[in-house]
Amino acid sequence: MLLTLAIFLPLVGMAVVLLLPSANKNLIRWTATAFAAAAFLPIIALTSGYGAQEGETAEQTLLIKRDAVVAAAPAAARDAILALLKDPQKLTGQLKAWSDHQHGPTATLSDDLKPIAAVEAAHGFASLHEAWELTLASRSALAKDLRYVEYGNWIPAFNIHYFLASDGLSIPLIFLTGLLWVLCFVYSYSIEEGVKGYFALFLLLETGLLGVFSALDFFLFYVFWEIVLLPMYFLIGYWGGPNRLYAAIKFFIYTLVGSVLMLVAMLALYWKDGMDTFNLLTLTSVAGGFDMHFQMWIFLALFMGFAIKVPVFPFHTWLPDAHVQAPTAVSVVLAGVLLKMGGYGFYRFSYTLAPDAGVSQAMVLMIGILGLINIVYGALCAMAQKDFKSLVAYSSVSHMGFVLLGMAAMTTEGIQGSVLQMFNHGVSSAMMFLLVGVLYERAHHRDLDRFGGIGLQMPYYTGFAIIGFFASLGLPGLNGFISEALVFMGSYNSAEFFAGSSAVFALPRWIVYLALPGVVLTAGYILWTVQRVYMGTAKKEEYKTFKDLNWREVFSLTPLAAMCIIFGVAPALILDYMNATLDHLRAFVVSGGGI
Amino acid sequence: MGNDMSQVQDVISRGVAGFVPELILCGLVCVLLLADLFIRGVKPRTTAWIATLGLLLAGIALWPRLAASGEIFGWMQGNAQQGLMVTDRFAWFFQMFFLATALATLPMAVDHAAFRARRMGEYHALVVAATLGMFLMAGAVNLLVAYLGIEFASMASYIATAFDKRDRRGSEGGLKYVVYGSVASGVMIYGLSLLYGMTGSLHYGAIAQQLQIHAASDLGLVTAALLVFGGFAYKMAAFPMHFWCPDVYEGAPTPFTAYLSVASKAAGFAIFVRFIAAFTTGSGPSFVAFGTVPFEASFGWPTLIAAAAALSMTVGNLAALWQTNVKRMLAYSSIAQAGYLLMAVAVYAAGQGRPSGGDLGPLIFYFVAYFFMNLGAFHVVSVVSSRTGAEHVEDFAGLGRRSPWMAFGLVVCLLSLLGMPPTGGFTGKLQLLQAAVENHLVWLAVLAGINTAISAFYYFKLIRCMYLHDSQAGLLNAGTTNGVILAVFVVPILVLGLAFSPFIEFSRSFGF
Repeated sequence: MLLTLAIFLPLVGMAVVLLLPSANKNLIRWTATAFAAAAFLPIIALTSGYGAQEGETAEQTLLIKRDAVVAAAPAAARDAILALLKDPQKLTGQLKAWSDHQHGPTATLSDDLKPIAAVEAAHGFASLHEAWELTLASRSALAKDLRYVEYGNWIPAFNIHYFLASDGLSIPLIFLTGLLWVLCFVYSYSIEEGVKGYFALFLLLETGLLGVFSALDFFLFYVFWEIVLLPMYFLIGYWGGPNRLYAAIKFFIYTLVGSVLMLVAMLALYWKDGMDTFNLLTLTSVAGGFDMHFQMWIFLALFMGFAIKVPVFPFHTWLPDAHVQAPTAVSVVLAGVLLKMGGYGFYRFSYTLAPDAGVSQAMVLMIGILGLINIVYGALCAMAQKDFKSLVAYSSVSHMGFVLLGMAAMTTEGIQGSVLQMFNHGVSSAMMFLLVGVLYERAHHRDLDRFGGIGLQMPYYTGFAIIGFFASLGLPGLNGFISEALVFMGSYNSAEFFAGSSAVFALPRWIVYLALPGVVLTAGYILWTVQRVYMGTAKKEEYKTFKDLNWREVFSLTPLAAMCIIFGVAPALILDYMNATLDHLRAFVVSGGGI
Repeated sequence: MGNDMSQVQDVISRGVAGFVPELILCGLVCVLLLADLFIRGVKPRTTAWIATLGLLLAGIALWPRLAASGEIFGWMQGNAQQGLMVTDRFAWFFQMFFLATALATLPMAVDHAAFRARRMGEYHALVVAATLGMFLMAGAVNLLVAYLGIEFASMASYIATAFDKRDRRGSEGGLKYVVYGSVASGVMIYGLSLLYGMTGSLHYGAIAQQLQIHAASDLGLVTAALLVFGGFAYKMAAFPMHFWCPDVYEGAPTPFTAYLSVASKAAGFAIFVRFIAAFTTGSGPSFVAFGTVPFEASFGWPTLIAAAAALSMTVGNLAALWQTNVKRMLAYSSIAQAGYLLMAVAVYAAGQGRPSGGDLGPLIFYFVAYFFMNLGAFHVVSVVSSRTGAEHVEDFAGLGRRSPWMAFGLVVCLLSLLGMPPTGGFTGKLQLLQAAVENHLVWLAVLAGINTAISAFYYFKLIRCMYLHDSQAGLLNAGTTNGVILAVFVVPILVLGLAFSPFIEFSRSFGF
């Protein structure tokens, strides 16, 4: 119930907000914030519950559901179904043969298929198929860590189910989403035009994002993924900066192209071996057996969809435009959460559905090198920017490169660092965009050359700025350091760890060596920016009227600053959530899908 | 001699008994024309009501044909079935579809400014006549009846396109339609005559049988197939016979454009699919399977259709990017939609060699979704152009403010045409892609995906204009009736997108 509540409360909120009178802006703002906060409550319950290992694992829940499905099957078919379920692997082969028989030219029924034919005759095939799906799903390597399962029928004709669950990979991101929405809504009280539409679209966006992070049915995932696109188009296109129309349509088309390739991969997986399933767990439990050729195509198709979101060079060109043109709160969620959709997609879908392909030489090198380019090229571009927001945008590209590097390494520290980097970047980047927004609201420009001495005029703001920027830089003591250090450790160890392995290609060390200067470059542009904007003795005339932070801005910045410090000093608080899940995931991928 | 006469009388009497809906439509055409002439001071709405009642009556008469099967005006010659038209679930679905489209575009016509203060009886008569022609197209199993149906529907469409005498573009569209349509018909009848010449029969089943028994020359078959495909492609507005589409859609009065874009396209697909069904396995409706498949082996229908699909999609979408007139844009969009639909036909043709046969479910599902989304889009265009007299994308600027509900409805319809969840257009396109992927036409599915992304450009051009550009124009009062009608189109789009499971079985049941 918790996940459904969290996902659909914002949707209900959107409907309520749309019914409110446009004139009463404050009512709209408070209602929207109330719904965001209301959605955050189940998320907090989820997070603490998962930490305490409450509730059933997916393995248990899915088996219970499977038993219910068998019990609900037509009586004549029940025994046959139970007999067939005793050997699920064999049943997979039988279902493939059955599907071939349905589509193929053979008219005679082999002995293998007679039980299935009997079940079909008793109208029990749908139950058999679902029971098979659930059995295999419960055996998936991911099932032990997933909790808070919600499973129901949605479109029986295509075996599409309403299947949600969360584990150590998704809960930090879900938590981040819930928190950022509340903070962004409070920050967005300064929006004066089209308030109703703004908050309504933003709430719809939250539904889409929370759904993306919880959905385990590929079709449901795709629907939520696409739901994210439209509100973003309007949020950037209506409330954005001077070049907003270009940025909005660029964002939309770029993401759509990636999505349709993902759709083709989804359909290919549905059709593969006549399995006819969209259930991710079922697919992962048989994915290891797919031939390499098929896995490569699936990995590449999914790569396109997710790489555009991360964003991976050379598909990152939408990001600077979108980030710069979007209004502050939208940039915050774009950098904080939307980019993580890509990283999450890689871990949840790409590597689990094409494990052998993911650790093959070609893919490891590709992702490693692209990660390297992201880090270094992103940092260099950031250094060259004159617009404050543009600099932060390129720093996002650079930081997401660490995610890719850790992912390519496939070692424990590498993956932990990579996922932790996703979370940390969500916090620090969100904070940076909020900081830029604070300044923009007062100065009405973002020209780095014109700033200077802000620290003298706005001391509290500068304090937050120091925390945010240094977290992004990776200063020890703040959260960015932990994830970057883990990524480097993990990617350095990869060569040693996988030295003798024939299945997994180790990340070459030269990639790591070349990525190291990225840290120096990052320090370079961040320190230079901090010095240009906040330091300096001259208190410029034009800034004399700047007020320091108001309560809304303090409210938005404080939790993020606190998280930067807390997770920098005690990273175990969050690593403990992720450890088990990521370990099992890594073992699954490295062992080639357990097959 | 006496035997033949009584047999002929028998065929005619049984045929007429089964032909009631078409006869009602014939009668309706006459009634509308006479009403226009003789009722004193007839208002536009009166003839619209007569037309509505007539169409509903035809629908009621059509309903029992769902359970019927067999041929109308059919007879046995030796032990071969001969006949003119057939009644089966496939024909029934499409005939109901045409009636629904005619009914749905009636309110648009009544409301449209171009028609006000004019005698509408003729217009409604033309629409009903076109519908009648399409009825023949949906059920035809005889080469001549197929041709007759196409010609009948086309003739009525030519005149209705140029209905507004004061509009130069209407006359231009009508003339282009006549010329292009005549050439296409000429091409098609030449192909049909080749088929007749090779086999000596006009009936699909008999022709298929003859082609099985006597191996016809490859050149003759290929030529006939290409020429006949040209004719069908013209009706479907698919590449390479799509050139008439933009000019005609732009010139015709918007309510008739709406009718053409949905009904005419569906009619083209209905007649084409039936033709394919007959000639790929000879196992079309009420035919007995004849064993192996010579026609397919000698000429690759699946390849031809797949190529036409790919080119229609691409050409349609690429051309639509440049359009500034909304009706032309929607015309090219409908060419692209024909491309997506042809994917399903290609899969069907390819699947015919197998015992389970081809599955027409995706095609029929997509047509249901297409009905709602295209008519919804044209409804809004009709309302806006009727109130402001303009049809360019810029004229839709600020519609989000000027008429929020119309704008929202149009957004949902455009997103559905694009294929974004949670609309019926997405679930329909998903099924089309699935059919393609499962039948090893992955390249076509990928191309369709890329085309979907390309089409986002022009659909969003309109959406952007409505919400992100503004104009000085005041509020646009669409009226509650138009709002309700739009809701009738928009709500099913969302239903088909979110809860579409029952419709899957529904659409599969209308296949052969």
